Amino acid sequence: MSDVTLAPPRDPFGPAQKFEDAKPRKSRKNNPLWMIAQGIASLRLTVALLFLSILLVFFGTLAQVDGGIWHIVSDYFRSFVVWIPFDIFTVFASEKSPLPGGFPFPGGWTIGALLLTNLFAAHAMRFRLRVGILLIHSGLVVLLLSEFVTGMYAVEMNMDIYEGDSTNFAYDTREVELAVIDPSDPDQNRVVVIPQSRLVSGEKITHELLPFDITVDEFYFNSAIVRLKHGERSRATFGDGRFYRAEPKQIVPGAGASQGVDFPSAYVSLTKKGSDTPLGTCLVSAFFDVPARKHWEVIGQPKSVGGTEYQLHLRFKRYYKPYEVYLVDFTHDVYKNTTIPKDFKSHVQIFEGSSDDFREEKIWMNNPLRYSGETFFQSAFKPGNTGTVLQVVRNPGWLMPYISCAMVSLGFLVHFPQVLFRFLRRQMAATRVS
Amino acid sequence: MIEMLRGKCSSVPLIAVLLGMALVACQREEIEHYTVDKTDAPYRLLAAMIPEATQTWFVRVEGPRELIDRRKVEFDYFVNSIRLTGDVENPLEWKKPGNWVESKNLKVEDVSRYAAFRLNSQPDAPEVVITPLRGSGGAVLPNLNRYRVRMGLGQIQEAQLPRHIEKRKVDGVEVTLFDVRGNRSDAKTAAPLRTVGRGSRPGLPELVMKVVHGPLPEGWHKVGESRDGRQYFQAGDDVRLTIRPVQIDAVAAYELLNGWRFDLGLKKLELGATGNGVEMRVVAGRDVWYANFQSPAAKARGRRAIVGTVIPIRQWAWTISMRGPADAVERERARFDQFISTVDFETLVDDENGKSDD
Repeated sequence: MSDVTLAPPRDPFGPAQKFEDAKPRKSRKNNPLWMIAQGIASLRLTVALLFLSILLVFFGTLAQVDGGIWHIVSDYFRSFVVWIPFDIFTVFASEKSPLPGGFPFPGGWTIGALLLTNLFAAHAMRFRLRVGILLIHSGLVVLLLSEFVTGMYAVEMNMDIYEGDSTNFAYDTREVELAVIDPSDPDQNRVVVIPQSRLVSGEKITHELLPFDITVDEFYFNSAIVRLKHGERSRATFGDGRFYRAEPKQIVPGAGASQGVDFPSAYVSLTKKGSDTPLGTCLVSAFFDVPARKHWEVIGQPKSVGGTEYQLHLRFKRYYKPYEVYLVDFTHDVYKNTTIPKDFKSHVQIFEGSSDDFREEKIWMNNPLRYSGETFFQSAFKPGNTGTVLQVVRNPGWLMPYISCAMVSLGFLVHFPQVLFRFLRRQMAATRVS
Repeated sequence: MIEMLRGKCSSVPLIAVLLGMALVACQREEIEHYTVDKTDAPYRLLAAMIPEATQTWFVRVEGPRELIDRRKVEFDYFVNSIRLTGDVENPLEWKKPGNWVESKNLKVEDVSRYAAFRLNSQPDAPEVVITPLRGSGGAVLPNLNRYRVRMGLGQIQEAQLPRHIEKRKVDGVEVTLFDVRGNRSDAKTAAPLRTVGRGSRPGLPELVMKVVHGPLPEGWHKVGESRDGRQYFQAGDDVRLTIRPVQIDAVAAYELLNGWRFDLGLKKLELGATGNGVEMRVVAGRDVWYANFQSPAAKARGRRAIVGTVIPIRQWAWTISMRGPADAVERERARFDQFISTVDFETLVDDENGKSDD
């Protein structure tokens, strides 16, 4: 009988002991960089990061009770660091009173980046290169990256069209933009758009394409427009805001039955370009540019500078399309003798460019239209069934979760039989020995 | 050594990926600029196709867009007033706006016109032309394509037709209305123009605001209210008061006053002119036109009067008008003045979330 040396049972996730046995190991153990690398690659860090993820989801969920859902997604999950106010924990108190203070916490992107680092480092230092493991972990990487791509590049928009009308843009109600429009060209409007991230109270905005400098006096994420009382004076010196005032309102909460939309408003002061010579103050508000209105183009705050009457619009962020969608018909069926909706259906024609050739499609619940990298869902309708509201979703990473799931599934299909066969082989060897 | 190398190789893409992500995530949104095509072309053609048993009537006007935009109210008024009498001698009846001038030139390019009117007294003013064609006058599509070619646009297919026409009942007859905007100066080569947001939609106008008012004066009562924002009141026995929103531009809003004058058989006033019963007042914090018109005494049915105000708000004009026998209107005028002083506008925002209203 010959001597048979049995290998010690291995951790299916990698031959860590192989490193223990390796000779250079002893010299590295004293190397601080190596120790840091080991820490980054450790399973303990993985568990800690997963625990932090759970906590972040918990805090984010609590914050949604009073905060807008998309603000929370942006602040908690698509940020590097988030400030968690103690106030969110008052949801558990029977009587709610504001709690001052808070604490910093790693945001979703920090945790995601650390998980990625941890995974890569573990592969570099702990795992053996096995096809199954590699597929599973590659799938996880794709999943993490897909959230990054979605967070950075995905857009959800609304497209309002009345029957017999067409439109070539959609808008995102989660974000506004300040548009300064120069209508002096007979054929085209020249539009300069300032993103919401630049609309910070007290910030002065200068740009070579702007005909004047703009200072944001106040910016309200959500607001009410109130008509001035008799004798009350407005801060605005031109535009519709002379007759109204904007009042800040609480951001529409993410939890609760009302899934409303925030209507931001701002007081902006214009000054002569490159100087402090005032040109006037106006109130701009998403109320003045409400997307449900049919003739929204004309509701701007006019300001004449250098012989040109510019229009200022605080409007929901627009995405112009290289195509037009024309609504032929909208139907809204209800169950017989009730007002319960049974089906909404939009019959649309899509015109590409200036061509009169078109593609004819019908969109209804659970039957979206995919066109030009975007998906059109039947979302809502106009009062009196006079028009439709389509949700237009553009997500360049929409396939990534599917790819990730496929990779992980395939990885498990490869890995588990491998482990099983290895186990059976050892069992058979042990039986032979015994 | 192998492990070290493997570690180094793995760290390079990792660092690149993380750095790339951090760069993308930290980048500041920039101010952007772009151009958007204006939706309005320089020329506009309005037409109506009125079918009759033996022939089809065409009413058409075309001209510079800005002028036709302002006069569309008059054209619509004219088309709505057309009645098919069935009489061979006088098959058509209509009410023409007072400022239109009848044209004597009824034979142009071998086409016999039944009637023609210039929009004003200028010799080169656009003409409203009424032309009969025997039989059905052709289908809607060929006629629309004829107008489109005339305006420098490409022809369209049957499936696109609903996009370009509007149907309206006038005196029980289904009238087809055409509204074509184009660049007529380059008729043969002009590319089809975009028509974003200009399709005409039958039905109720979308309201931006709603009129609210204080307590009604003594002897007044509300008769009704419609979903398009109209409100009706009875002011005394013979006087009706109506609040009505009209989608219109600020210049044409003044034309509503001329519409009242036309109803009373009075001459048209110059745009924006005060005097002759028109004055400026302040209602709901806005400068508005206030009118007090009375028909000429010679009118057979007795003197009638209209007292009203036109309040332009952005692309809307709200009219509050009271009409009836002149003496009754005059009796109610003080109450009317008191009533409009209580009027205010409420912004409709509750249904603006883009959500379904079920």
